[in-house]
Amino acid sequence: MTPVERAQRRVLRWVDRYSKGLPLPVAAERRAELESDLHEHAVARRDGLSPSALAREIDGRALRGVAADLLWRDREMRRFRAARLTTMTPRELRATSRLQHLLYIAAGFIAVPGFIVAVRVAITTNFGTPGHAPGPYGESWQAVPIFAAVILTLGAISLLINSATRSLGVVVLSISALVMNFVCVTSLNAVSFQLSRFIALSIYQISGPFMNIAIYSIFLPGPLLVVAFALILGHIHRIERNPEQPSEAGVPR
Amino acid sequence: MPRRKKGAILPIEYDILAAGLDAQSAAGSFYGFALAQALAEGGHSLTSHGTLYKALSRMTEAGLLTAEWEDPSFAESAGRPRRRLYTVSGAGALALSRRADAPVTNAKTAQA
Repeated sequence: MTPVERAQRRVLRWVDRYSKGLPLPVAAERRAELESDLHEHAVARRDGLSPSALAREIDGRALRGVAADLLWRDREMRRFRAARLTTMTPRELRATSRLQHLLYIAAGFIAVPGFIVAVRVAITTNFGTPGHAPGPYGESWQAVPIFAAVILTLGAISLLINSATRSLGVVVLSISALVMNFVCVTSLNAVSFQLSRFIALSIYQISGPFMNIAIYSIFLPGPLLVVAFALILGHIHRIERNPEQPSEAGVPR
Repeated sequence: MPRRKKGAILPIEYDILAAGLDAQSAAGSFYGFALAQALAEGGHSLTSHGTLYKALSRMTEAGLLTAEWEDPSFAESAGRPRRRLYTVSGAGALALSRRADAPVTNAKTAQA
């Protein structure tokens, strides 16, 4: 495969990515238009540019247009959802609303305790004191990644509200869940010395010879939440999928 | 990002109307990449895919352009994918001429 063909493939893969979930005619039309553009571009410039320079030019056009592509998707998705809402049964509407609320609750479940933990860690580690003198239970910077995860979660909530950016919101929420799980576990000593001691002793008492596995299990809630978010999102997408749109695989290529 | 006023036409859309009118006077219609090339004349880089096709789609919906897919047999005999052929509509040509006739009213000229 030549560099130009590889660049064309990358662009078409990106088109498939950002047109995913849109009505088939809209997605197929955009893809066909890009296929034509890529072909014409390669034919028109192949004599004046080396294959790698032409590939870079194609990649550059795609990269510079990413924001516009996403805005186009947003507009088309709004239109599609507005039209789909009128054809949804009351049961489908209720189910979608319930699942959407479940995502908000999950985000709140991460953001609120996360904020409390961040404040607690900031206090016990003397964060913000002149000279950032370390506290008795941890380094003064330990609250920073927890606050960052809280901000990430708030960003995820703002993305979840708009149905066109909901999938991106779930991705951001998943990242914040993983980050929050990791930073809270690693800062457990700074959250509560008694609690961390209790957890350590419990693991030691319960796990017996499987202590290593038990220790790693405290990093499990994050990945479990990610799986739960993916299942909820998949369920919403299945409900919202246009009845005339059997599957993504049906896009004519 | 502030939402655009309904009916407002962006500078790139005026550029598309001007380049499109030139292209269609020579060939009857124009297609995406030919338009990108026309817009790039004068040393500019080719318009990005996203910007170009988002603008074309919006302008078609707004009635400034008309679009139709080329006959598949024609594209097949030429050995290339089908082109989407655009023409500037009467409304598009009118919008462009109105802009050309409109007095320049930016802050600098107002102060002068």
